[in-house]
Amino acid sequence: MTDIFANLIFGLSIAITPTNIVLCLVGALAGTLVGVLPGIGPLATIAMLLPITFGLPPVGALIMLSGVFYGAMYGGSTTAILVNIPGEAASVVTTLDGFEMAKQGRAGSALAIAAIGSFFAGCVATVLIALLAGPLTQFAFFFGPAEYFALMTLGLVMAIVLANGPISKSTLMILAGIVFSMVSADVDTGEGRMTFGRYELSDGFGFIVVAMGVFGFAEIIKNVLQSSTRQLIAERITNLMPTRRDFAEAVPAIARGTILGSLLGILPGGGAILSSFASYTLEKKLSKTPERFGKGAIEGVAGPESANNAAAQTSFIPLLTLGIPANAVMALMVGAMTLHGIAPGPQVATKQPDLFWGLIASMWVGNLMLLVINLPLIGIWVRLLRVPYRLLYPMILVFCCIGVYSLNTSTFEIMLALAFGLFGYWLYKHDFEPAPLLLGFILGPMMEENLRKAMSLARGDLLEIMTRPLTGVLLASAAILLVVAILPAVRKQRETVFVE
Amino acid sequence: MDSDITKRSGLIGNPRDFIGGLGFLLLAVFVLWATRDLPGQRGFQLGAGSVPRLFALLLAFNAIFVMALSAFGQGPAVHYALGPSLAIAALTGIGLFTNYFAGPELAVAVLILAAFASRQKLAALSIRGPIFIAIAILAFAAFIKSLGLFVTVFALVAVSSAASEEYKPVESFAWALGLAVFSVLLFILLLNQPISAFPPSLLTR
Repeated sequence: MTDIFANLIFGLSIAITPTNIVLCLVGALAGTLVGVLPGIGPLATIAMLLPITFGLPPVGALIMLSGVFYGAMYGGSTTAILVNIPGEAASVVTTLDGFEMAKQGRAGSALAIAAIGSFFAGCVATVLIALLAGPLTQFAFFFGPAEYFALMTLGLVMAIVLANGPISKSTLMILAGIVFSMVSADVDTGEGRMTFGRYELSDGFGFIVVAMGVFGFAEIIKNVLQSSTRQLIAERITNLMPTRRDFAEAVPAIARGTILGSLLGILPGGGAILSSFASYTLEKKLSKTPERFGKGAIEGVAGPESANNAAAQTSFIPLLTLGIPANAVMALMVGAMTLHGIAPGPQVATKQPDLFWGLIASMWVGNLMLLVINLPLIGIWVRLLRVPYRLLYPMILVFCCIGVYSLNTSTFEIMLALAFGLFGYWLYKHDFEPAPLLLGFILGPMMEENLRKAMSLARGDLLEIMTRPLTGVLLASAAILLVVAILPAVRKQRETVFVE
Repeated sequence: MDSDITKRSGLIGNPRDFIGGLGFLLLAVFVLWATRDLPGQRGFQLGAGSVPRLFALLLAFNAIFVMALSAFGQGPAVHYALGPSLAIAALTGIGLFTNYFAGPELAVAVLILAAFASRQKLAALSIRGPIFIAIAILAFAAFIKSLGLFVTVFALVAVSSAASEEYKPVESFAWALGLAVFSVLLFILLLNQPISAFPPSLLTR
């Protein structure tokens, strides 16, 4: 126990150096700024702002990027409450009661409770990460290639089961992501695979190119057709302080949301979106007056907002300890870490403790900052929402294009990103949810490398791989999970969680 | 390539998923074809082609499964109309043709003119948004190396603005000018990105 606090204090000593505080602040502000804009979720925000971190040292860059992530999440809830537009998927449920509260003139309370709940959840999640990071990292050293392959398979299966939408379609997305990731030179022989002689493809599609296309360009193409008239409630937000009664109703919801979110965040494929939906369902079930939900119940804001923030943070656990991203945003963080020359995995904690603990401590600092700076700045975010979309999207395009171009100064990659953008628009037309695609895209090469290593070690004997105790357990759980999820009864239950 | 989604009853209950699945089936077949020359398993070593083919096969089976489900399901139709497809094909043809003879900058310039000239027509075919956004991004790719950031951003903003139904020419030009100045200040002066602000050929002369 004392170890953990020593580590956290060591981390804080890194996180609160003036440079890192400024980076965290800039990240959180920029993240909120972009997150407030409708239609741009954390994925596109991180992808867009990633090039800005290139010149920074790795610790600073990661601190800034996680600041961007929380900021984007936070900005998403602000728009959900004020204009009924969820800035990102995790705040969809916040619109249900948050916007109702705003209509009743309680926008201030809703915003404040969302911020306070998120902050509390963030604090708890930070301690949880510190607690679990050590033991899990130790555990990870028992993992060989076969175990890693099995763990990633389990992770992908969980991502499929927990994803929003029909299972058959999210599986399709993951497999397509893996197939896209196979375009590159072979890791062992250097042979070009599906590169068609283009040297630009020998490193494969850049993950930024894919993310920017599918989440940046496609979003714009999709949104530009929609009308930009927005219903803006609460011209001026006064009275940010929630009433005593608000607090009494919200506090238990915050506590429950934090626990639920922390648990769901650790699960592969879980993360912020699922936990906010689950928390809303839970609050409604537990409430003595469920009829208030959808009509401005403060628990409907407090629970999901705490849950999604807790989950956003605990989803860092599998990434930092095992090197395996649990969801699409974490997949993007893997890409960011690789660009900065860090190989995510258990060795980060032992070899680069400053980065590891600095990042964890900065999560807490980032949350505190969001609480302190953002409530007073709400007026500015509201004003930003009045900017019509016809002016916003060209500006977003500028950032996206320069972002892609500055990676490798390659115009070919911009055209690739455009191709992925059109592909993303096609996915939207056919009702495919693209987030699992990015997860498959990042995990694909890792899975292949581990499978091939495992096959060599086992001398090509698949049976030997499958019957290793840990591998066997992991693969069996994956299979059972997949079968259970397809069972009609469970499928119905799963659908209701998202329909709510 | 699109567009309006309407209810339709026919042989396939859910055409939206059916065509979606078909798209991925084609992708899987393409991958199997493209990896046909890569070595497979040799002894107990997996070859360069093994894993891509494994996942392509899984993708194909899954796509067929989605298509089979969609036959019995219920869902909206996705209409692939002739008009928009022809318009896209025509623009692609013009672009490729001019690119071949006159290079990317002129090709994009011609595309921009063609798109602006047929603005109303594109809107009627409801592909105005995607077309203008796509051409604007192509303009960025074509201009950035030879014309510098200032001109490129101006073109990107001015062209992409026309994608919106609420397009206002004068406003969009002013905004394009503003953003061009802003990006030069932010990305070149502040962030030191290795991009030229103005046409490099002018600067070296």
